[in-house]
Amino acid sequence: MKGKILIKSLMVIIILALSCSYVFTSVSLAREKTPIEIYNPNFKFPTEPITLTFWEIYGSRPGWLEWARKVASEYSQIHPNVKVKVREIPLKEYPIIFQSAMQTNTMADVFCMFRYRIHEWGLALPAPDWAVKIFKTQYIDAANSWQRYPESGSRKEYQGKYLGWISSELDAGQMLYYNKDMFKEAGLDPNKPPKTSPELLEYMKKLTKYGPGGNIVRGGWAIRYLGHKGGIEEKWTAFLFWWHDCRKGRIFTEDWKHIQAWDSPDFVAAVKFYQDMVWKWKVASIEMPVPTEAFKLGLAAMTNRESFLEGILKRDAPWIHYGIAPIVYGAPPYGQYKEGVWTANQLSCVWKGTKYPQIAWDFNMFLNNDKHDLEISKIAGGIPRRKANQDTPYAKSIKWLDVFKEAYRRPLVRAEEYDPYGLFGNLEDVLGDAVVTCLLDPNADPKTELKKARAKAEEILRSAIEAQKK
Amino acid sequence: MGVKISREKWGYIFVIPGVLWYGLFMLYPMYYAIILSAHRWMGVETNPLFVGLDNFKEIFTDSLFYKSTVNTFYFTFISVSLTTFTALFIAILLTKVIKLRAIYRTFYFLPSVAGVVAVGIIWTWCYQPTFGLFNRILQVLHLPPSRWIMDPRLALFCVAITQAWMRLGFNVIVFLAGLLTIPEQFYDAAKVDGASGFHQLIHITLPLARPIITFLLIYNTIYGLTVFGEVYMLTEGGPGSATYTVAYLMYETAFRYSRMGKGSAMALFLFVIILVITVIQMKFFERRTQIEY
Repeated sequence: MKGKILIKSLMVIIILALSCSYVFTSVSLAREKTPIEIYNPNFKFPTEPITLTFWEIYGSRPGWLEWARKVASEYSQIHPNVKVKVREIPLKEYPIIFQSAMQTNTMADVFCMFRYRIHEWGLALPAPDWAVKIFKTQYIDAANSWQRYPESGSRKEYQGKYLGWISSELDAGQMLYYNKDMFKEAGLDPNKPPKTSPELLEYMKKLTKYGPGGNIVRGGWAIRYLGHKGGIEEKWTAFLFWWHDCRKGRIFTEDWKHIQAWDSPDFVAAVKFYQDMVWKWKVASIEMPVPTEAFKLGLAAMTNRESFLEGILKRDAPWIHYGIAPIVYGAPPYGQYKEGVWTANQLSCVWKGTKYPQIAWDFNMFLNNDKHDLEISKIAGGIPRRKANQDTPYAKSIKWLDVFKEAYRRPLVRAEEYDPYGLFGNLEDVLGDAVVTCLLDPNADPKTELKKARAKAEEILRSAIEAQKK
Repeated sequence: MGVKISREKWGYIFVIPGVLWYGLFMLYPMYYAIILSAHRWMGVETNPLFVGLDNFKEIFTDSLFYKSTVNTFYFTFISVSLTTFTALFIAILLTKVIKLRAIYRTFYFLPSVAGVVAVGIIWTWCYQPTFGLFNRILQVLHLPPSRWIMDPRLALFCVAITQAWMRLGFNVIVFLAGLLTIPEQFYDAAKVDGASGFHQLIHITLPLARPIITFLLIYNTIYGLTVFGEVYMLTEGGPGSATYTVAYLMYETAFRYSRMGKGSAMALFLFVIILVITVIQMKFFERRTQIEY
């Protein structure tokens, strides 16, 4: 008898537990519902079958593509009539693919892209009000400032508008990576990385090792001299901003009508310093692989890169004991400025020509709701963008959180990639050409090379301005 | 009552898909490139802006374009010379091999089967100064290391060698096929007359292989002048601008800087250059390729 009562009681408890779990699940699913249903009650979610496409350009980064597919599948669970196709776009080929897609009306509804390209090609559909409200209230300030185009001089439709969320990682921009074991070996304190430009040079000299023929077998600094000239110029900019006030910009003058005085003493000094690192002080080698590889392989003691290098090091070279610090600032006799920080520059946006603007924006925000923001931050090795995730154990465990805070205390670089003529990449390469010429040739005169580059850039700009007038 | 279609009409019907394919994917893009060369277009606007000859003025005053053109000719000269004459030499040797000829032929042809991406990755590693294969070999031989593709003076030559290596197999096969058609009696007669191997090469082999040499020279020249994949994979135009070629600059201009009109003007320039060189080559060899056995 007692046994039957016990079984009945157990069954009642099980049924109650199941009911409770069902209710909780429903509630949590309801909380998972996408913002459009919460903030835009007038929009009736369609019931017919819909296919959205999502293109991402970071498939090569570990875990990104799998994550995107998982989120797409979660979205289809909430909206069974919506199927999201995820496609990886190779980073090297993205311009051809995007341009072809725009011409043939086969663009993705949602995509990740560099901000200057979004601007140059006029890709994005600005965020609807409900999404803007989310950006303004639920995102940290550092993320917020990069989600719109406050300084856009040309595209009026973008001025001050939010175009998407930062899609790769929110990081501290260029950071100093240094090998702690090499520091110890050279008699340097591994917990005291260089802070100023004279210190940096002193450290480089102590850390460089030479072979019997005088060739560098371990660089004090891994220098970027290969690949796209714009990429070379970008890494060099961290040195330029010791001399040059970053708020003035490095490509255009403030009226956007001319090129900065590239042959002025500040630019010349920065190129000369870079050239001397290779040829005079011999602390950096132009025989090493690219900095990421050189640092990973233990061929260089220091370099500067974004936060993703940490993910690469964890994956490919877990034996490297490294530290991360803010990029070095200028101090006499090598420059004077402490500024020079700019951060993540890719956004996840909605294509302006999408057939489903409401649903596409809904999915775009779903990609970066609180849960997914934390997930992708962990995968990309960046700081979560949403306020709700700032106190999570993950956010607190970020090795370079202090670097990030330090970076945001410094003034941000003028966001000049939003140039009105879509010339940023081209002109960046022209400046990079002068930098790399001096890196490769000890006899190249920085002033002469920069003067030539400036003249060429002025000509390109003049032609673009004339064309725009037409 | 079926409609009767003449044999001749059937011919035209069968040719239609090929003509459509060629027209759509070759002629139309060529026509469109000519039109675009007179416009400024970023590839995204609906209405390209007509700028007349501005794109041509721009490219002819661009020092990088000038450098890329010089590089292209230098590259073509090295690549064509290496490919054609090495292949001819190997093919002549292979005609003397009877037993393992098929194996040798396969061996030489293998690099032609590999894609340019795979070849690029392998050769990048071979050329790497710090841990690459070639410097390891030099180290074993107690010779000084080289910077290979990292050296602006050597880089283009290194890329040309890579292309020559890739193209060699195809050239060997074509040469071999041609050389094997030369009647054996010619050599027998020459031997009877006391001609040495060298004399047989100069007076029989080379004159009779002239049509194939002409074909391969033209083919390799076009291939050299339009080089892109090898540059893209090995050096991306660097170090600095040392390995920029017209085709690579064209790609950068059109797809990196979104200047489709300027890129098209470069394409048109390259087309004219190829056309002129091909016509010259054909005229030069025309009189010399009439062979009767």
